[in-house]
Amino acid sequence: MEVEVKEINGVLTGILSGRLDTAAAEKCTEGLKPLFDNADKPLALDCKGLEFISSTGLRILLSLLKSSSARKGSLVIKNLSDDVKNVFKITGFSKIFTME
Amino acid sequence: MKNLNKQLNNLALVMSVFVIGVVALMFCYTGYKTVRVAYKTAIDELMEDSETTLESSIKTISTRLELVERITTNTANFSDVVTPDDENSGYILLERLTSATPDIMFACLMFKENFYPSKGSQYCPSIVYDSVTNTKKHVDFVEYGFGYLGMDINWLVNEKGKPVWSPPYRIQYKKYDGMFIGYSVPIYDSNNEFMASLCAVVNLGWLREILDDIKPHSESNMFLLDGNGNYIFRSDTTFYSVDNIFEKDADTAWLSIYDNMTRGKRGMSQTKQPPLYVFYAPLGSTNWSVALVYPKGIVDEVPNQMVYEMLAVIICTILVLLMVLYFGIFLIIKPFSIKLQAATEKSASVERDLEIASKLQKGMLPKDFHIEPENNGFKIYGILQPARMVGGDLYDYFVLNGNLFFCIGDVSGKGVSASLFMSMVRTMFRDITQYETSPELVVDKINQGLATGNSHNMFCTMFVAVLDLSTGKMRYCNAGHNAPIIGHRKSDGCFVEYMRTETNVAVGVLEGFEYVKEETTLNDGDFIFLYTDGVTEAENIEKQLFGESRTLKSIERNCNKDAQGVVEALFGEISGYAENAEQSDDITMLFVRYERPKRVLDLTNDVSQTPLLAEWVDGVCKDFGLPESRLFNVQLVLEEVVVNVMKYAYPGQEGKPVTVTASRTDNGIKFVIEDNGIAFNPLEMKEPDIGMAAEERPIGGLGFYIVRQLVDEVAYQRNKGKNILTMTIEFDK
Repeated sequence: MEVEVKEINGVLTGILSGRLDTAAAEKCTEGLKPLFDNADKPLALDCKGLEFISSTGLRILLSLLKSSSARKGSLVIKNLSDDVKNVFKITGFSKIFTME
Repeated sequence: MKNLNKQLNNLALVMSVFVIGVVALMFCYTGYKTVRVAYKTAIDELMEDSETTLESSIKTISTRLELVERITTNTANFSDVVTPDDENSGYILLERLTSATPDIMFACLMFKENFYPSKGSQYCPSIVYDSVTNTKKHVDFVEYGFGYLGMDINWLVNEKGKPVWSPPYRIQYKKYDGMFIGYSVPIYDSNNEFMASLCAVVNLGWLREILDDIKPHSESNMFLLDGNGNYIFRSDTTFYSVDNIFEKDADTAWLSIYDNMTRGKRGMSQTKQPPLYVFYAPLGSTNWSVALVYPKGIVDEVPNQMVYEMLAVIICTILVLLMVLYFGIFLIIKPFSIKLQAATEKSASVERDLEIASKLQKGMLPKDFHIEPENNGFKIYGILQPARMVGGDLYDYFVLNGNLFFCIGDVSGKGVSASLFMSMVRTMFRDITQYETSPELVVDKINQGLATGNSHNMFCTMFVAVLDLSTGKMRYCNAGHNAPIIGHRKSDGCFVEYMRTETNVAVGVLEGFEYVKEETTLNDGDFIFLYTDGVTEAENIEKQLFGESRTLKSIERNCNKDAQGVVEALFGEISGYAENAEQSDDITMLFVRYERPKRVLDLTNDVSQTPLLAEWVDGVCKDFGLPESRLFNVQLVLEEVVVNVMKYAYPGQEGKPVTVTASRTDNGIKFVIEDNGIAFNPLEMKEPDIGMAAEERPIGGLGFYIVRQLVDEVAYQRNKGKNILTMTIEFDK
């Protein structure tokens, strides 16, 4: 899985692509560090290329959300695939994340 | 084989000895009897002869003596010529006597005392006849010292009036030296007064001649005894002895003989020392007794001879018999023993051949059911027990291109011919299925193959099936064989029934018969049980059949066992049913259970392997025909469960196994995750509260919640130190 961090329209965006399974968790966390460091700012995650996510990945997202909330930032998740959206739904994440 | 020869030798010997023994016994018995008869006959003959001899001798002697008696008695009647005044008047009588017979060689008159006073007190005029010179001499015997009155001779002065013979005397007078006896008769005057004893003296010389003449045997003896037991005559040696036997012979037998003889008895006695037969009889008026003496040896001569001859014959015969029997039997038996040997060897050779054939036939059957790879889609087990060394049943199976080919067959008949036919069928099955995969066509081609050269009208019932291991679709063709049993797995046990099949004709019966194909689909866990009629028609001692019902029930009862278990259970039941009854037909069984091939992934408790898992799941789902849209969720579920195990099953340990297995179900996929770590049931975990606000949501616990949402069936088992988690995902949800 790949993480690219870009500034898009003044929002620090993490572009996730590939499979965010347990094996990739560490790499993902590493890649999203800039976002974690700027949790007070508005943040975005673009999941267009995200093929797969498991609970480990969900935990990372949750962790980012919590950091963002704690530092009065914001987090938007964009372009979720149907399958991933479904997972969010099942787990109730769709209620706690701002999704576009 | 040497042993056989030795046995035959022994047999010959025993038989010979036995026969000889019997023969010898017979001989001895009859011989003994015969010898007894011979001895008896010899004695009887001897007795007869002796009787005759004695009689004739007695007659002869008596006649002669009686003559003397008569003459003397007669002459005595002329006593009136004797006058007291003429002392020579007596000579007339004496002349008469001595002229009458030459036996009387001396005649005298012993006058009573002082009858002729001129002559003195005793006067004995006598005439002596000399047979040699034929002269007679007149003498007064008194002058020769014959003082008869003074003699203690009780016969001389015979006043009683009875004529009497004297005992024998030996007299030596001039030329005479012999035995004499005298017959004295009293003469009376006209007043019936005793005058004198008229005495005729007889020479006994002729006795010897007579007795010698009539002596029957050179070894035999004769003797004469007078009334007092004195020997008158004895033919052995001393003619002239006059011993009284009572002083001599000590043998008590002799005593009784002599006693009897002196009493005038007749009879036969035996003495021991020396061993003699003695025959005796009285002589009559003289009170004499004649005895014939035979040494026992003579008597026994002939019978003894007989005995020796018989013994010789017996022994020779026995020896000859022995040899003849021994060699004869041996000669007769030898060709038989050779034949027997040959037959035994031949039989052993046939036995060996049959053993080899049996091994060959067993070798044709697939046996190593266990070497089948675990996950090939089927479990199989078979048993074939021929009724004889070789049989006409067959079964066969093999896997080709993902298809399981299997068959069962039953050739008409039993034994060698059926087994040869069976091997042909089996070869054709293997051969034809190389290129022909439709069961009905396989059967058809086997049928064609058997039509040629099948002069004995042998045939073979067959059931041929081809099972697609990936789908469970089974095509089959039943050629006259008894319908197999099919079993469907249920939640608790199975449902078993006899398959309904087309009844095609057995192969080898009708060339060109069109065989019909049939088809069915087996589900995971379903099974087919093939068998021959040796199973259903197994007999017990009362000739009752095991039957289809029992067979079906047995399969049903044991259907949860593995293939070997089912088959062995039924086989055991049949064995128990048949007990000691002879197996009448070949018993053959083949059990095939369809188990959808499983896919297996072996991982270790290392979460970095999750991509491997994802790839494997991808492959499995595609192979099993899972709709693509569902792949994501399946992968998610698998990852959640497996990562869970990896994280928590082996605390502090690395490289521990986590195994994932997937198998197709009727309408879905079953996943099984196994580890042998600490006991942990994820189903018991508390569900997270997904309604909670983000801040409050705990980080963990989410995985299994996801699983439960996405999976239809989840089950946990702890078994033999393993955690076993089973999940089923259905296609149409």
